[in-house]
Amino acid sequence: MQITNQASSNPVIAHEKNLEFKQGEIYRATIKERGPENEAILQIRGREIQVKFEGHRPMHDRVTVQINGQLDQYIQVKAIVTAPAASQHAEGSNINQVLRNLGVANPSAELRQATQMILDKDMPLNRESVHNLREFVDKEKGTSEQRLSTVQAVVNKRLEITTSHLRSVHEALNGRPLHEVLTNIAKVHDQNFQINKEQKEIVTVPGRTISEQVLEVREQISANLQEQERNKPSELLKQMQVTVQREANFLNAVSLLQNQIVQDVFARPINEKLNEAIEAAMKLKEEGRELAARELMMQAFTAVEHSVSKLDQAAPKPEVQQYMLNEAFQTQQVSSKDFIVQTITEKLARARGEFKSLQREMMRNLDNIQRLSESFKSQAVPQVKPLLETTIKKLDHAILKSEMMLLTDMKTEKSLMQASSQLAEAKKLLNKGNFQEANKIVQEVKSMIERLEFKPSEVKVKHFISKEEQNLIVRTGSQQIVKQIDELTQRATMQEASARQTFELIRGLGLNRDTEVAQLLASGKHGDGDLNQNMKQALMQLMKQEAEQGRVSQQTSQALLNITGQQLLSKSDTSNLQSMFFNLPLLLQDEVKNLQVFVNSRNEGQQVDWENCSLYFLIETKKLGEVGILVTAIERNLSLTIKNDQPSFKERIEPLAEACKEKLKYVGFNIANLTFTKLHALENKQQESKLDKEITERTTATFTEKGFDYKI
Amino acid sequence: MTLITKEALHKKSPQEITALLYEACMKNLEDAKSAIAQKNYNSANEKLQKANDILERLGAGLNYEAGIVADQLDAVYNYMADRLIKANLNKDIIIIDELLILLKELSSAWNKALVVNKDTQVKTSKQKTSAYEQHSLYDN
Repeated sequence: MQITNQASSNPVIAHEKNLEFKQGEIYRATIKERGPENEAILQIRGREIQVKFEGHRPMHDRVTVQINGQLDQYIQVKAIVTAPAASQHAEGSNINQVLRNLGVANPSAELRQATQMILDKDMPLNRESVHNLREFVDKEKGTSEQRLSTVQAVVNKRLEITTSHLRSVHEALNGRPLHEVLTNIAKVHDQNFQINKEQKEIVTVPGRTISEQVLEVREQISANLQEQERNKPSELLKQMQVTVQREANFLNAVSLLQNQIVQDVFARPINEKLNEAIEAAMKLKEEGRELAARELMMQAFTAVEHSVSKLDQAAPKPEVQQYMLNEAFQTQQVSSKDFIVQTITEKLARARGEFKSLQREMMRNLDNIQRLSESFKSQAVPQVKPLLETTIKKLDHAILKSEMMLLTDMKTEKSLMQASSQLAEAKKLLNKGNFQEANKIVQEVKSMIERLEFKPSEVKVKHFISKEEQNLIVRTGSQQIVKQIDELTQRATMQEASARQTFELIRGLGLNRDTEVAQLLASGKHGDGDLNQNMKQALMQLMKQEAEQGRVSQQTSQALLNITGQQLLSKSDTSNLQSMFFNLPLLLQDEVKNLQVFVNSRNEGQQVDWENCSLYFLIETKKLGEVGILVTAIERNLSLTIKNDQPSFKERIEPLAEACKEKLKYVGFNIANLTFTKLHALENKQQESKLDKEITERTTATFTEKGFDYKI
Repeated sequence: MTLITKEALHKKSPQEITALLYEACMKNLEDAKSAIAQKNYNSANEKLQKANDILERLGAGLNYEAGIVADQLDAVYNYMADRLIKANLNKDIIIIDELLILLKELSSAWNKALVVNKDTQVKTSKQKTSAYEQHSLYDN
């Protein structure tokens, strides 16, 4: 869609590319050297370019130039204004001149300001972008301040000035909070659902519905209990067969069978036969012949089948229709459940295998690292470093991308995260040449990984099942939206907060969608349905549907713009400062709230340097009003500033903060200091520097990409 | 007729699955025996091949870090696989019987171990038995 260079792999190249000059674009430049006649060397955005001036060469060093074309090896430029910028007034008239050159006759004050911002950042300006800018600045809703802040954000992110960029970013920064829009959408579609109540129940509260339905069935069964009971023998026999087939532990199966036989309505000879078979089977099992035992049981079942079915016929016919209805209903539920259970066991088995192989590989790598660093001592760095890097990468990949983390318990996940950060530490030590210390850490990590065991956690498995179950139901766009909203907001409360969870939340919003789609297309694989599991996808689907019906609701496009805006604001930066912005819906005491996250950090290749970054969370709470939390991490030392306007806020929060400290220590962070300030005292200052602040403070998905959780 | 569903199989521990493999191997051999008696050589061949496959799988599942036992088991499996091929070649019931006896012993020992389910080997001796492994270089 609108995101083009989300995955621009090489920042340097991307930067160079920005410097391709197009005719008609306007730049700010400094004259470095004056050559003969009209030649000069200009510095534009840090690069020196040979140019030839058209008309007279300006006297001042600071100039604003318009690109006019290429002449031999020179680029032809025209000086528009020379800018000594002595006074505010002069500056203003310069801008006016620039704008006039681009075909704008009477610029508004806002437009002038916006243009100024763009030129200040050495961004190119041309007719089209000025036109877009003018449209946006003069006509978009919101206050002029908000519009300007949007422009500033776009400029800071070095996004091209296009209408869609401006709109999306505006929506993300200043539009209605995402959660509000989403709730509205949900409300609109919920009403639709009310017409068809059953459907709605299945979609929104699957867990409860099934149990309710089962209850219903039970009641109906007890209503015509007698007929049904007599009708059962052959069914029961089948059930018993299934039990034997499905129960992994044969002894369990036998005890289940015995229970059934005791309370059952089979005629005596049949019961006796079955009991005999069970006894014989038990003997076989004790000899270790489980398969034979199972076979014996199955044979016994087939042997008595005939006489049991006779019992069936002897029984009076019940209200067949009613029974069939219930039966069909019941079996349907059971079968879908079974299917899920089956895939779960398979997934678990596979995840266990994956975990084992990961463990083995890690051990092998770490072993190699140790041996290498022991034998080569300080010369080992070049050999060990890449190995260490791949190990860390593999580990991180496992934490964030593989399915096993969706199933395992919190402790394992945390341990793996800790391992990852410790290894990063080792890498740093190694770089400093301190191979002994590094070796010690590697040893520690090794023994830790050795101890790890794959233990699926019940909560997570349950969550996984419910998700799988939802996948079975085909939905229309509107249903999907409701489900997505439901899931997004519930996710945080349904499970423990963890790095993986946060990552999934961001993925669920669709902030990763475009990259994922790209990867999928590149790898030539077709989606496994997982791709459709995000908000952006759902919104787009809904939009398409609405377009087909000839109407596009404003809210849908708003929400979509919002998400796209977030993506734009979080795209990887070309400079070595990475900034990001997220707008996450979060469930806070039964109410969906908007959590704004600004991330700011150094850019390390494609990754965010999560050990040195700053995060700013802004959330509106019911009891405390707006709370801002500023977290700055320098070499794993955190300094925390909590901003709130409530009196005695400090006293109330301090104990909580202490507890939080402990938890952060667990993942390897130290809280160096903790301060409380007023939010609004700062806010005044923020008003002016809000833009700057937002932009400088917008940073990473640190905690998502690298994984640590901030309890908020 | 399915005796056990995939789902149930996934729930089994590796040790239990090994026990099932022993049993299936025995069953195949027994079936082969009766097929030979009925002069149904085609089905006997199939059963014996299946038994061979199982033996191979058993060999692949060996954990050599468990110590000397693993190497001994390896030798036994190899011997059995050899004999099995001979038995298949000549459709020789005597060899099959011999294999059955071997398998029964292995299986009953394995099942006993399963019931006890206790690792009597001391950790230090375990380290000793796998000392070789620890100092070997793996290639990726």
